[in-house]
Amino acid sequence: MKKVLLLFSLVLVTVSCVKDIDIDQIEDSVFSVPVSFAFLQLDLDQDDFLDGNNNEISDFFQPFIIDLSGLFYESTSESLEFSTQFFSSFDRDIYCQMSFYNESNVFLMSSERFLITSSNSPITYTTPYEGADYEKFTNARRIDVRIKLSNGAPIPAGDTSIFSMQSVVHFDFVLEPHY
Amino acid sequence: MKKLINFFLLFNVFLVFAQAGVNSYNFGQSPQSAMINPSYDLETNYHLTIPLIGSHNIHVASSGMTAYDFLASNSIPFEDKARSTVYQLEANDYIVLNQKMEFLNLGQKLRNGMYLSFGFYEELDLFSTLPVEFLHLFYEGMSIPGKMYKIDDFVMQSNLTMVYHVGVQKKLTNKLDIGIRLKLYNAAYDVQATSNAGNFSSNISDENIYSHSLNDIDIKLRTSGGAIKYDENNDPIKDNGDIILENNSGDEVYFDDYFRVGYLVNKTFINGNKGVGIDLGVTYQMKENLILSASINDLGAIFNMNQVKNYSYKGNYTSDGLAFEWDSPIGYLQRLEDDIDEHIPLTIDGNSYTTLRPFHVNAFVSFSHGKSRKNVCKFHKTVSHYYTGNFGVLIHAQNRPRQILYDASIFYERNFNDFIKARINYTLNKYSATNIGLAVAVDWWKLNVFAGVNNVLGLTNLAKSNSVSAQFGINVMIK
Repeated sequence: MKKVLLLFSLVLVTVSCVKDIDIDQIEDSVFSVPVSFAFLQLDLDQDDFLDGNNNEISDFFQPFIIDLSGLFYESTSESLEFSTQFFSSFDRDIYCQMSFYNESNVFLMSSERFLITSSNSPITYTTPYEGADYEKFTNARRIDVRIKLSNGAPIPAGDTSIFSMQSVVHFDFVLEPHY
Repeated sequence: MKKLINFFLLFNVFLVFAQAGVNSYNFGQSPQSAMINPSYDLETNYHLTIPLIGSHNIHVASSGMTAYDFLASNSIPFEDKARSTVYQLEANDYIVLNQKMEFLNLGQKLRNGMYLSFGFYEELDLFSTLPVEFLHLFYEGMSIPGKMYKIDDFVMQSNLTMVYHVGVQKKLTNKLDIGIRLKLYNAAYDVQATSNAGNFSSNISDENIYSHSLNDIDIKLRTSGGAIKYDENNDPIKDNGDIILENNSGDEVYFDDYFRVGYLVNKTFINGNKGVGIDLGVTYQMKENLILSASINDLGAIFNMNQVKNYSYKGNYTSDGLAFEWDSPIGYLQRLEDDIDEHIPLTIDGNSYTTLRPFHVNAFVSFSHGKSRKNVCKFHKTVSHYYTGNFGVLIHAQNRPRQILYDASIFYERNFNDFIKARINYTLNKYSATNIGLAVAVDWWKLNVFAGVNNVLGLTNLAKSNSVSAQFGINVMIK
């Protein structure tokens, strides 16, 4: 009986093995998850361009508190794309520019100045942020969206035109397992 | 994340064992075989399984993937291998871990001919499907507008249970044996997520370029045996960073104390949630060399009434991004979190619930051939016939949340002499067509030793195997 048990055990121990695998390859692995999240959104109509006395406000800004500190951290790729889609039916050119501020309200950077002309179809601008600009974007806690009407005939009372801004941020969430 | 990956890899590399356990049904006159078929005649007057070292059984499965799929040593990057493995998984692929250790198993033949057995064993059980579509979400992120990632197929169940049992086996006629075993369960912990619904999707939106939606979310997690105390905001109550739990009396227990050996032993052996169950078996000797048998094990339930905490999320939420709000001091992510909390709130309750045991059903037929000899037991006035060889079929099914795991085995058994028997077994199931098992039973002096392993071919490289299991038993038999 001893021999049989011994043989049985030896067979199991001898043949049992794990081979043809390489666990160390996990060390060098990098997983990249594409993330796109809906971001700033703004809808304006005639009321937003007129004060209580129907005087035109041709230059103003709207602040957005963003605080994305929980989303971007060291495990993300160091670049992102910020796509902004504008639509305007006002019979005036509109300029839009965004300014980024940190948590101490210190100015970090501005986006390019977008020109939005009256159109039946939306206009999309895509801006890559890399390196230092990426750092500024991800460290921003407030974005002021500045809207400026170009010179032209005043917006008449009762104008039903609209202006909209939609946006999305694309980036890769990068995971690097470390052991 | 790192811990999850570690666990996942270790799980695959070292614990990838069996879909089907070792085929020890009606084999070797071992008490471990009688635990599967209560009607199995041990043909002995007394038995004692050596406590603690006497009987171990481990049974682990992972369907749809192996460690080799992830970790093959080749030129393909690990990321690509992981991705292709994830995409070959199906919604009902699963992982199973079942481990048993007997503390006591005693038996005695009674004067009325019945064989009485009793004892207790510990059983750790885990079954989980894989949230396949959410694994796809990991790779696809939110890059495919309109695609829905469902969580409906994800189910998980786990518990640690001490099983106290007492059973009798009775030979009703020379041809018919029946057996019944009553079980009292004492569950140290129980975790269940067997009813999940809902999906996540990103869509092209009118309000913003994208919108992100959590639709028809209905997620439930039921737990017992380790109730965390919460404050009125559903945040865990902590003391100097330690999570506070509550025991059966409602008294507070520190997290570290909870996992002290003494406390765990107390919970596992005595002070857990109780349940009842039954094993049934019948064996019919149709001809001298033809045996039909069937059994059902663990038909029962555990009633979770103590230290219960149930968590549920239910609702719908869609985010179109960050719409402007004057003077709002709340950041985007915080606002998102607050909105989700409002629309898909977490509800915690302590309502008792019932856990059905994952019962097994076995159907067995065995045909004997070769040289026959009789074993006459004068004391019990019974006659047994031994043949050189047996072959037969075993059909096994196990009830698991939302699916039944089943497999069919054919086997050949050889009685080398009065002392040594061996069985070779071929098992076929949904995921494997190469599962060959071996079992050996030895009667020597007053010892009965049983050992078996499944998926022998898989042992040659566990990394490529998704099925192996092992069982061992050593018993004192007094005839």
